[in-house]
Amino acid sequence: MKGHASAATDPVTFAVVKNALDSIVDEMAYTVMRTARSPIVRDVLDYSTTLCDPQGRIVAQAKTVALHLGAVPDAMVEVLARYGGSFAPGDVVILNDPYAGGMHLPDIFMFKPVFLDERVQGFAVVIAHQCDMGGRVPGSNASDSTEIYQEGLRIPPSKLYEAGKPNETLFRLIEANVRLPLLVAGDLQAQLAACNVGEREFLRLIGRYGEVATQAYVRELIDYAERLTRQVIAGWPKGSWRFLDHIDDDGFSDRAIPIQVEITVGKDGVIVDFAGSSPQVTGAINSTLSFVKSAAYLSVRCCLGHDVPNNEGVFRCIEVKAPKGSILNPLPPAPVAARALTGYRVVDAMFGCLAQIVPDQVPAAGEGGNTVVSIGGYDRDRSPFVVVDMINGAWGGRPTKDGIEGVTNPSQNMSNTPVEVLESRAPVMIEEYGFEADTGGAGRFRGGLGLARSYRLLADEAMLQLRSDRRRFPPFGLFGGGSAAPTSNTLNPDGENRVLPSKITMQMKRGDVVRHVQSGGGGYGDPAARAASAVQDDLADGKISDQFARRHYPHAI
Amino acid sequence: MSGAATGDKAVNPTCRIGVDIGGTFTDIVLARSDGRLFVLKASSSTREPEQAVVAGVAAILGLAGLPVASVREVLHGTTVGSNTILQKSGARTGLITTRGFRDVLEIGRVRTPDLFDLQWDKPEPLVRRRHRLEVRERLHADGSVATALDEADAARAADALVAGGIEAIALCFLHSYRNPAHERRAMELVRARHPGVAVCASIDILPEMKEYERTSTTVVNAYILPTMRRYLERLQGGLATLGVDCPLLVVTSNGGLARAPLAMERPVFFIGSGPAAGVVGAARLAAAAGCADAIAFDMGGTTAKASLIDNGAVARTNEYEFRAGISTPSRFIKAGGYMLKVPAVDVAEVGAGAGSIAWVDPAGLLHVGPQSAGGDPGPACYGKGGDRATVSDANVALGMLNPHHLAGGALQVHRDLAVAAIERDVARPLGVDVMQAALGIRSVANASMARAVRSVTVERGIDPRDFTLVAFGGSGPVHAARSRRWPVPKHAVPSPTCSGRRWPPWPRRASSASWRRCGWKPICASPARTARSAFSSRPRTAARPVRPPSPPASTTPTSRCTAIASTSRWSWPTCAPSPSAIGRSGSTSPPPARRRPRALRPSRAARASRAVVAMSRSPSSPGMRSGPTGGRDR
Repeated sequence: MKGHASAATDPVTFAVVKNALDSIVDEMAYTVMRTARSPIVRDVLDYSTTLCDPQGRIVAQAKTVALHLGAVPDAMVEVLARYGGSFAPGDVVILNDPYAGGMHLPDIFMFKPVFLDERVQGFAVVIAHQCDMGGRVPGSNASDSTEIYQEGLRIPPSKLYEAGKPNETLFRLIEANVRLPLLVAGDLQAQLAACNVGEREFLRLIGRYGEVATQAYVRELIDYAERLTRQVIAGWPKGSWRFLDHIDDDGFSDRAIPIQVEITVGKDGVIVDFAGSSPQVTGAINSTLSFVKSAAYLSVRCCLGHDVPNNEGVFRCIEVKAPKGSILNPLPPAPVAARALTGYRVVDAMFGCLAQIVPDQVPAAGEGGNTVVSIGGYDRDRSPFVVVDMINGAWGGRPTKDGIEGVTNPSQNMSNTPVEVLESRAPVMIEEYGFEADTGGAGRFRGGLGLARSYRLLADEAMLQLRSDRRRFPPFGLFGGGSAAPTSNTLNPDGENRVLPSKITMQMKRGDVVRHVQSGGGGYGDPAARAASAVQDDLADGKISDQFARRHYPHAI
Repeated sequence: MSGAATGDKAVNPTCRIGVDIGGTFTDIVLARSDGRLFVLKASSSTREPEQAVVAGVAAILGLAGLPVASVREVLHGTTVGSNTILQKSGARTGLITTRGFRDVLEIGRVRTPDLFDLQWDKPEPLVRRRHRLEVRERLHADGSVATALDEADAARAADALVAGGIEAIALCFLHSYRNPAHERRAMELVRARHPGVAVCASIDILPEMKEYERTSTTVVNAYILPTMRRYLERLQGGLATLGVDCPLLVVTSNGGLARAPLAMERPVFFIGSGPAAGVVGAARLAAAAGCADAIAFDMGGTTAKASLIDNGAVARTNEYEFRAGISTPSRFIKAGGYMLKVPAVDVAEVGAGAGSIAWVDPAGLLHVGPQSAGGDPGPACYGKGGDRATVSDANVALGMLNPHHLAGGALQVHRDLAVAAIERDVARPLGVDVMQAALGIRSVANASMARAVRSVTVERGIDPRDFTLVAFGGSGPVHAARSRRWPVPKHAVPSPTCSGRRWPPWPRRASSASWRRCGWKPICASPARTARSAFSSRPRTAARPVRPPSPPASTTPTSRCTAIASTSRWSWPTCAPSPSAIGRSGSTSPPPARRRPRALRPSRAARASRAVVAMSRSPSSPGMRSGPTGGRDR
């Protein structure tokens, strides 16, 4: 069809191809949502979809979990190292091994090479958080494992389909090792369906513009993203800035875990160095470097403005370093299942640092990442159930307005599980889901309120695994704004009212209620500058108490 | 068909009347059972929109020479629901829900519509937290009762809301879709105690799983219910006083029709009524013109909307989010506005219309909208008290619109007022001359509108160059016609919007040239020639269906109605005729069959070139808006 030269110079076609690629990955994402079986994928949307070029560079990513974004290139490197050059049409590769391209075991990466005749045109990639991957704790998400071997089934890059033929051994192995084989098998099929949609649509696009022209546009799209990114960064002040944030503990000792970042802004790129962060820890909150890269990329990406495409071109401008053997680049067999927490803290530290570089763009700290509640056990008829529930979230106060409450962490874009869906699938009753007053940091622009959610067990017994943080180091405010309230976990608030640690694995009995209150967001600016009318509105809506108002906003009373 | 029956028809023709109320103009179309079509345009009566309808129906019956008893049905597309939400002018609404869950409405599904946007704002919930009250009651997921409804609690909640000035109450309890007993009982209690308050139970609106979606849909229903009910009741009452005794059918959001009482109970299903009607009409017209792939572009006074017609089918969705400003419906990305789980035509909307107000921010950047002057007071050029510069003022100043009058003379235009407003609001702050400022306003507005078109095409990976633009609404054609920067279809023909002898005012050649440059087919001649160019590749001398009457010397001061009477099934807009002219043209006998404009039949050539017909219903075009039947070739 169109030749190379004209292709590169036709801005309309370029715009169409760019948006067609975005549309393809969104269509893939939609396919997963409509065909998945488990609530964590179907309702919470803990998955992401991506298209890569033949070299494994990201071309487009759907508006799904941003924290998956930067992990795909490293995974592609492993896949290409293992199979590069030996792909056949109909091949499908999966992996979940954090030490071979994965992030943590529940996240299964699936890759399908897209073939035109005999030539690989790119890869359709789908990452989905499986509701269980075996191991010692239901949900395979526990923060208190000490080796990766406790965390579940490890899958290095392996062909799930070979030239279109299913690898029965691998399927049987997976099904035998997970608690909910039907859901896992169903979600794997959902991933496959999305890969097929990606393949079909990408081939359709190639059919329309021709192989040469399409690949030229794809290259141009990556270069375009790089140009835009470098342009923005060129306008930033030059120098080095540091920020230190902490994780409360790893669940094994009380030692606070420092996350230290230094951002150096160069001529048209940035270097992000995590030297000074904690060595790797006993508990499962170690994070692979690929995941740390994701967190760093997306934090910078948030300060680039709207129109930069999410692809390899952005990553080229950001160099990420973390010392080997640290919590941000652990050595095997360190456990990593709850690594998301560390990723969120990396994002918080990044924003704390970026606030010094581009203060008019960055909000105060948000809730600090989702709280994950897993409840697993057996129902009356001995059928297994696993609830993996994620609680989000609040944003910190912003340069010109309040933080939002009841909103995803900007690094995720996950949803919540509707109470009616959760309760109809597991013997668990949600007794409360709402804002907790006074949990947002005070400020000229206050932080969003934290959420409270409580779970009553209706089965005889079950294993609870709860991962939260931000109890000793609540979300920070900026430029005079106050910190948010810390998180809290309580057992049976209407009875014994026992305080639980921030990370816990424990047995629940019938009738037990566990209540989690998440942190809100930090405040932005001096609370004395908050408009009296805004304080009065918050009072009338019960978002802050009289006491809180008197303490932080005496001028408005 | 027996001859007798045909004879009856000839003696006693019946008719259907279609009514569309825009922010600025109300359009009425009457289709007689013998195939004759009458069109009438009236200024909208913003505060009591039904008044214009009632007056218009009376007038058009007179034009058509039919008695009131001949009306078989009145079809109505309305924007009352959407305007109520956009202008935040709905009822003060309260919510009664299960204990522990009053924040479900505000939490929503916690996603953001875009990644990496830290300045995003969540839409304000339609019910403030202080008006969301909880009641002790609880059902299990299987519908069995965990905690019985505390009736005293429910009564207290209702009393507290009403005492706080609440006019409408939404009820949504967890798992009510499995067992409606608690919601029903609570509804009885609330209704009994407060008969004057509108009460909506979620099971009556959306008996489906997922509490946020159900609550949100129910709350929107309650929020717009009193406004919609009052409006439809007044409309029905007005029609009844005329003696119209037939069903009033309202267009649903998905392009169907339902009887008015249903729209009063469940207005949430009618929020997209007006735009849906336009899209369905555009699809019919495009099909009649032989193009299966089209983009319906509807620009009114406040917003501009685009929808995709793909291979003849109108794109639909089963849930969408309603919000102001850019709204790009997507099956995947949510969280931009008020969740409505109701079937609807898939429409992308931007907050820029003819009445959008142009302003310059302190940093010297020109903005257009989202504030709109609407139809009343309207743009400065209307001289009705509006003094802010709008998009229409820019068009008048630039000569894109008739600088003397619009809507076939129904509306006087004061170009001097337009120029003065632009001078003061835009030109001086920007330090440019008036014409540059006016052009700037137009460009900014066009950029917004292009976003609407882009969001249903380019953003979904669909190449708009394969599609044909069907531009309608008050200002669709005047913007669609000359926007080279749009991702617009190559082959499109602006409508015969400019009729009358003194029109168009802009240099014909220049515009033709610019049209050609962007691939448009320029058409700006007489209606007859327009018809030819639109549908035929070769001129035909025989094709002179209706000679437009001369422009009026003046408009009738007592009535704002402009009448266009037609003698053929394809009628062309005329300027407002004097009463005697109406009589004359109305009584003109149809042209003999052989003299029917053969050019109206879409030729193969026209189909090949994907000719577009732009419908128009004011102020850009002193003309009619062809209904779906208008474009059909018989």
